[in-house]
Amino acid sequence: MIRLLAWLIGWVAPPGAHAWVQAMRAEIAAIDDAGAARRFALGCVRAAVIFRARLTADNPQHITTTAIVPARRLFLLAICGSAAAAIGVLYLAAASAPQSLIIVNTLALLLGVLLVVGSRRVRGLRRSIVNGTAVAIAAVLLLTAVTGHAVDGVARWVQLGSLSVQTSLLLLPVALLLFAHRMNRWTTAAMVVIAIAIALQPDRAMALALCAGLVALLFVRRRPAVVIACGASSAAMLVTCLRADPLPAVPFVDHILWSSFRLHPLLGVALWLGSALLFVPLLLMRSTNARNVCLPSGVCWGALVVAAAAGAYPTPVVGFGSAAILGYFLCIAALGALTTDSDEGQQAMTEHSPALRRDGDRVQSQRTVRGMMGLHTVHAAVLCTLLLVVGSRRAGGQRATDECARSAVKKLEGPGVWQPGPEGRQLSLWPDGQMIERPETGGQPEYVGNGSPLVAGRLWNWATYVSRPTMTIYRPAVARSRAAIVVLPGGGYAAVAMDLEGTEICDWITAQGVTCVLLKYRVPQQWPRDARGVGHPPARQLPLQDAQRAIGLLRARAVNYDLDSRKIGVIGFSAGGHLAAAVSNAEQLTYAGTDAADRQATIPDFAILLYPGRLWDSRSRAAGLALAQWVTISTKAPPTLLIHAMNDPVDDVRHSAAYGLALHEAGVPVDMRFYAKGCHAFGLRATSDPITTEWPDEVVRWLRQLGMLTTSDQR
Amino acid sequence: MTRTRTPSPATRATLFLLAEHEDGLHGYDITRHAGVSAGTLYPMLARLEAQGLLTAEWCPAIEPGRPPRHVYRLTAKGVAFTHSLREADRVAAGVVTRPRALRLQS
Repeated sequence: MIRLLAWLIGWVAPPGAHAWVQAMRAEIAAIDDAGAARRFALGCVRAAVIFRARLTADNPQHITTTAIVPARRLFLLAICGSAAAAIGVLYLAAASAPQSLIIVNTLALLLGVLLVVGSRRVRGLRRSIVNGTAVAIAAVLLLTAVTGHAVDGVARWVQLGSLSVQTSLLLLPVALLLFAHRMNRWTTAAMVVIAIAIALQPDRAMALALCAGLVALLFVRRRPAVVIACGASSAAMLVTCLRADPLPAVPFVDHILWSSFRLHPLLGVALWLGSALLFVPLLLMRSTNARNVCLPSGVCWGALVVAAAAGAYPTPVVGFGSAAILGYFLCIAALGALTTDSDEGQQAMTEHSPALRRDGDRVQSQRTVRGMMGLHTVHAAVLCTLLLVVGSRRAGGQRATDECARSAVKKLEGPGVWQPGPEGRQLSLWPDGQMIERPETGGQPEYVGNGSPLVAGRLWNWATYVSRPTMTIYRPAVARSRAAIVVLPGGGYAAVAMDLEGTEICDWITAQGVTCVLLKYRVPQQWPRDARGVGHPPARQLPLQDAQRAIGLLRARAVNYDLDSRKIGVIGFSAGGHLAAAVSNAEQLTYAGTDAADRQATIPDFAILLYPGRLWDSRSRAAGLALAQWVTISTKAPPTLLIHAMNDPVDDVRHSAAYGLALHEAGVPVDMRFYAKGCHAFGLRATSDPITTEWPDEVVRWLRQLGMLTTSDQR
Repeated sequence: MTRTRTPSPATRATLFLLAEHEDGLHGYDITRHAGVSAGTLYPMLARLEAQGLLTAEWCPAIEPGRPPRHVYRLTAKGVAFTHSLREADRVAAGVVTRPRALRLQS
């Protein structure tokens, strides 16, 4: 730490202060107490910044140009941005977001700070540079819209290594700043192209931000250029409002301004505060010129915050989005580099004498050379590149989410009771008159729905608000075994995936000559989240009661259904995988039994879990494979087969790994099949990932080895 | 670069401290005894040196293996300037004609 600070002092301080750098370093080395040395070193870093600022202020080359925003203000802006980004990183850590997100955001913050420091030596951007940058930004945004990495027809991202970057968040606020600074043909054209790009992408939040920023600018500067840009951006907003924005909310990205309060009220307050830090300082500029230049980008950031609060849009800087963090610091860096009309000033000064003009040109070119080629800038460039490389390498976790991205379609849901086809016989789990605990239906009747995300290009259907659970028995055309498999679909205990992880599984099971029993268990039942965002099971797990009841019923009526009561197994998917584990280890009935079915053993004879969740203690990522505290392992648990993809972005493969190892420790036979790819919730729908086509055969082989698929058992 | 405005409290504290230590002081000692942070101190020292009020001298460390440290001493001009600051203080406090001891008694 101290060595890093000592290095930083030399890096920040100008070459002229070399002796002072040496003196400070020697002093730091001479302090014995580590704490005191650290404090002293921190002070020295500040001193180095002051040396740098003084050099810039004293430099006669800069006399003709005055910064739009004074250095002190700029420093404050950078502090505000850093604080906002730091709050965001804090949130990610608190919400146990993937480590890669946290690392990438921290790196973006560091990079941003370096950018601002680096910008201090490029003072006074020439008009051609401003125009060129604006046009280049417009080109990049347009290219993103046309050729960018598209998710569901929405193209807002470019792939940089393994990072996908939302270019509009990165570049649009800077473009607004440049436009507000210099309104001419070039920048106006750039704004129009940007508006078109945003409309093409389409991005409602960015269109709103662009439009809001330009309208605000129109209030202070009524110029034709602003009117044109305003018109273009309004049209863009209209287009994006007319086009559907189909992307679903992404955890740790969208909606966090509200959901954070559930994690901890203080965290929610901090997020709002951080969001305010983004735009309030930009709007509170002292000089008129600074106010005019900062206004549109300030309003733009504010509008983004509003959009994030109102809809499923990313919360800028705070939370997800290395692009937004970098974009914010780009704004500050640009503010640092912009000076008030230095070109005009210099032109006016040098117009009178050709000699002076030559001199002026030389000064200008010297300044450019100094700015661009300075040793420190090279340092910064090398460091930035290194950080980016390391960042994208470490962001491997993010890759999983990208390749697992699925098409989202509009969710359709309405009252209706799920019904099986003619081949299934649906039975109530509980006698119709019997009172059973209601799930959290909020008084709704049962719903059926379908929608996103598409699985292998097809919709999937669910049932929810299920207050009267059922099981549906599908008999095979040709029975090759007296075994039965109870299918426990997933759906996060919010819904039950009745086809993807239900009827489609039963079709396959009956084709194997085995009886299939599809359980429609009671949902929704929330798992209350603790301060860290980890859900904990409710005291009475209604789905578990239903699963136990179904197994009891099947065993009690085994003779009626021509089943072997010792060959009743379960197959569970996702949340249903957790349910399969729960019923495997529950030695006691979890509800008050009343009839003969409730006196049967309820532990199944085999259990197959596909991509289960809620089993591993997700806080133990560093510690390894600890089971979640609510999972108890019974030595009576049946032989278990676990199937999981390593790149599952929803339920970490560690849920399976931890559960499998714990069963193994308890002496339960466990088979595990882990695949590199396959993502989550694939059911039986084949994709190019081998897991989706190989798992059914694995299950059949495994069941055969267990002796569950033979008919040679006693009647 | 010369400044004519009255020095800041931090500068005064540093000047007074250095005036009392003719043998000179290390930067860390000044931060501890004058209550000035390192961030304020070094730019101030650089300015005072530029104004010719103090000298910075490299002195080898007492312990071997450590880098030499800067020792700061007031120049004759610096001593005179500090003295004038003290006098100005006394005038402002209205005690210029009275010795210090008397003021304490009163």
